[in-house]
Amino acid sequence: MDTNAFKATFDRTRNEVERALVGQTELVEHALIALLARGHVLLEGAPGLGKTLLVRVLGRVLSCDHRRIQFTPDLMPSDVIGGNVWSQPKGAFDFLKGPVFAQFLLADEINRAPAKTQSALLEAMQERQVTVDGVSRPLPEPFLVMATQNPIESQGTYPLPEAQLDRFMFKLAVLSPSHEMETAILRNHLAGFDAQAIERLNLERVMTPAVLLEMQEYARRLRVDESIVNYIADIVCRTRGHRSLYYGASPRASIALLHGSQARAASRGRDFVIPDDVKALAPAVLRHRIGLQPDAEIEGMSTDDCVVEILRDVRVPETIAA
Amino acid sequence: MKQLALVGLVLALSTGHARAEVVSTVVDGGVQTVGRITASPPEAVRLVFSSKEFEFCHEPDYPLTPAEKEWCKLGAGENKKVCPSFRQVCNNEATAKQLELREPFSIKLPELGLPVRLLLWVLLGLGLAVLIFALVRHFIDHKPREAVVTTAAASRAEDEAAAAFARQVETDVQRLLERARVKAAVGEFRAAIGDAYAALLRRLEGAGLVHVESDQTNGDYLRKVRGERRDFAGRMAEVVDAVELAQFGEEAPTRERFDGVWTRVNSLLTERMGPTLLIVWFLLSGLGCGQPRSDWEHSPSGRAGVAAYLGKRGFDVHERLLTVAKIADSKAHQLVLLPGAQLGDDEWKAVRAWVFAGNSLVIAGSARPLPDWIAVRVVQKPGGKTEAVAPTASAAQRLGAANVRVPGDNSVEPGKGSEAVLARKQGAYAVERWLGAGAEQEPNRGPRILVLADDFLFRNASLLVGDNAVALENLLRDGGTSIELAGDLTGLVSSNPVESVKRGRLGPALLQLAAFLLLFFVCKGARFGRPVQTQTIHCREFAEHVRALGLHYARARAERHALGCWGSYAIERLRERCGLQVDRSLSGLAEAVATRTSRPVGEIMRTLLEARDAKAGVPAEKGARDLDTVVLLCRLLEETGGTGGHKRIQSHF
Repeated sequence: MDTNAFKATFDRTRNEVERALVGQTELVEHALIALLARGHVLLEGAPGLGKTLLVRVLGRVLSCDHRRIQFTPDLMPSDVIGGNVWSQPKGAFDFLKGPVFAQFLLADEINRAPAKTQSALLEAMQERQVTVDGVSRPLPEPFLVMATQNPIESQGTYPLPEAQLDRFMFKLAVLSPSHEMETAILRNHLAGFDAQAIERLNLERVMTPAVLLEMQEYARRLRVDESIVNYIADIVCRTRGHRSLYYGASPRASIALLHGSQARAASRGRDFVIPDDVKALAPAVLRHRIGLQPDAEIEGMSTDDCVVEILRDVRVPETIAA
Repeated sequence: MKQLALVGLVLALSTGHARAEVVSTVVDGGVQTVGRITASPPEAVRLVFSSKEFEFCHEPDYPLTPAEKEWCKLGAGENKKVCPSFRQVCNNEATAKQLELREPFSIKLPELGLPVRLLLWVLLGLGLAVLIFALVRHFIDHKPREAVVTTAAASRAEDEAAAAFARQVETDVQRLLERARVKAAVGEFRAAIGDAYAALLRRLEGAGLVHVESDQTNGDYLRKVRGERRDFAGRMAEVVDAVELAQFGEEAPTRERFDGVWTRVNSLLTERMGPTLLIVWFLLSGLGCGQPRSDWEHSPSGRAGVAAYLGKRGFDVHERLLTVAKIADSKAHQLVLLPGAQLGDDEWKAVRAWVFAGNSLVIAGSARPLPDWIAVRVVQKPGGKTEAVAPTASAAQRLGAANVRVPGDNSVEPGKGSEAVLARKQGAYAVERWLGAGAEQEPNRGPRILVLADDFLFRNASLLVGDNAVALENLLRDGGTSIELAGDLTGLVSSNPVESVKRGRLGPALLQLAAFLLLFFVCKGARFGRPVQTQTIHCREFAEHVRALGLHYARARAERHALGCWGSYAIERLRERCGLQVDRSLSGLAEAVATRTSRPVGEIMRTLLEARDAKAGVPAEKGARDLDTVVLLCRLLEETGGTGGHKRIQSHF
């Protein structure tokens, strides 16, 4: 694997996904970057914007198996990770794997399940394994969780705890398509596109799980200059003492920003990271890892505004500005 | 004999074979030794025009002005040995623009008194002091950084930090490029690449395409440029890629990398400069009218050749810059007033006194009337028919030149005591007047005034025509060999700033500048020079504080505590308004409130009980909605009569 091959594969993958998912270029790119950086993604957006379709198409194009869990208030942890069931013929307990044992997992409306069920994913997302009755079972590689939540509804939802949020590398906003994109989607459907039957699209299987793992390894080996490391640390540290923030980002955020930047650099055909990579991914990495002060909320600030403010305060490496 | 020309001069002049004679003249009884004659007249003319500075003698494409073409008719191009190209030049179209002498527009500033002049001097001194201080500080600031570049012992990290700092401070494109070149020469390619790229960014900033800020990445700059100049952005992207590779992708950039960046940056900078250079070229060439001419003094209309010729013929000729009013301090014995000289009454008085003190004055044409004491009138006839000029009988022997030719038909009308020395059929061309005591009895002695109809004999092209060179030399010889030429630049130096402004004709420019500053001041205010961060000071209302506090409580799951605090306050206010300070029972209060608000007693009683329980710390029942209770209490306060402040609190809940 070299830089050019990496970029070529990345571009082909993105193009294939965008054949099915129209008008979500940035979302697709960030999702792929998270995948290549071995991270998980939290998608926030209204229903019907193509979140489920994205996961299915990704699974198809990357030749990975994918599952979907619809989170509900009565969902139990064992419904996610599986559990031991008594096998009469064997006279022993057998482990019945839950849907988490998939390479791509779509946790739909994750905030509809109580914290207990949400926490079932903690170990899976971080350790890439699940433990039931003291026995740990590794999850298949690659493993990507894409969770969705609806920002509008608040009745009957359980906000994700900070520890859970921190496990997600990116939080991406799924934006409504523009008028132009909306018409493109409609034309696709007129031409016979069916989101429930993506097989008919004849999407090319651009890579295999083995190639994906190789790309993940390659991205982690990319050169990161000392000044870039300092830049990342500066950005994340500033979230901790910011006047508008109740709490700042953890070191896990720094690590996510580092690996995300490496993956982005590789996707652009570079074998080194530049400040632009860091700056481009900082909002996605930080927006769900920081909490606003109540008075900042009253003033109408968002976490994105805070991140932008922090980025404005931090000096870019090698800048010529005084 | 007061004045006498001596030592074989006449012979040398007339034969044209003198090589290095020493010429002396007696002036006012003293012997004045002058320079060496290094060449005969023809040889001197040839030597003068052999210089490449006189392009009209060496460049066949040299453009002439229409007036200069007149010299061609007089045979200036005939002498191929002296001026080889002039014949071809004469065949060219007259496309050059005439440099015309005209009265400059100026505003007469009022005469200022001593205090104001003193103030101006003080201001000038302060300005100079500030300038010197700024220069010294600049030098001190830059000295350590320059030292860093050349000190091999300094660590690389320190070098790069210093280079980065210097890059941030320096905004001049040319200096950045020069520094990049110097650093590349000593092998500091990383810093050199940074400087070259900084030069590009500063140029783009100057063009208004980007704004250099510390939080902007190269990608940000590139996107901005792409938004404005898509064609330019492609090549800039190549530079950015190479620069980023050097800055973040390599341990030690190579010379090849620097060369690549350097070439691309220079290419882009040159492209950016193209339109600017074009505009400057248009401005400098008079908005494109006429062909550009190089040094005017070395053109056919200039005087550099005449001065050089006279120099080779033993004269000491220099241009006078000081005002003619101070001619008394001059060591010269002859003053030539060219048409560009601007003389006022004071100057003429000084000249008169100086001439009567024993010196000579030559007036080479004048567009304005001459003072009466000169007693000569110049008649200018531009475009008149050119006629040959010949020495008068009385001056023929002295001038020794029979073939004098100049363009036009200007003439001089001699007055009392003056005598023509060169004349045309239509009239005199040169008139001289001797002013010394007993001049009538002993001509050619004492102070002299020589008036020429124009200044053509003092022009370079004149030396190429007939015996003009010899005639000019002999005309001047009697007045002494130390000559000052007073022309356009004479008197422009001054002794004080006001005079300097006046002489430099800077009045309108300064007034425009002052008007511009005034306009800027009116638009931007007194602090336009300082960076001011506009920040809106937002003063929160009390209700906003309450809401923020409420959010804190809600986040901490402490709505019940908030209800307890607010409930006890609300119950006390309700008691006040219903006049029940004595009766402390909730049922009495509920009835009184129900009466005033027409609400059901039961609902009010439940609300009051909730508030009291919350204050007492009784845990909430399942499904209790403490915030709803707070809102209801607010409504009760509002309905029982309040100041209205509760409405705002209620609205926030």
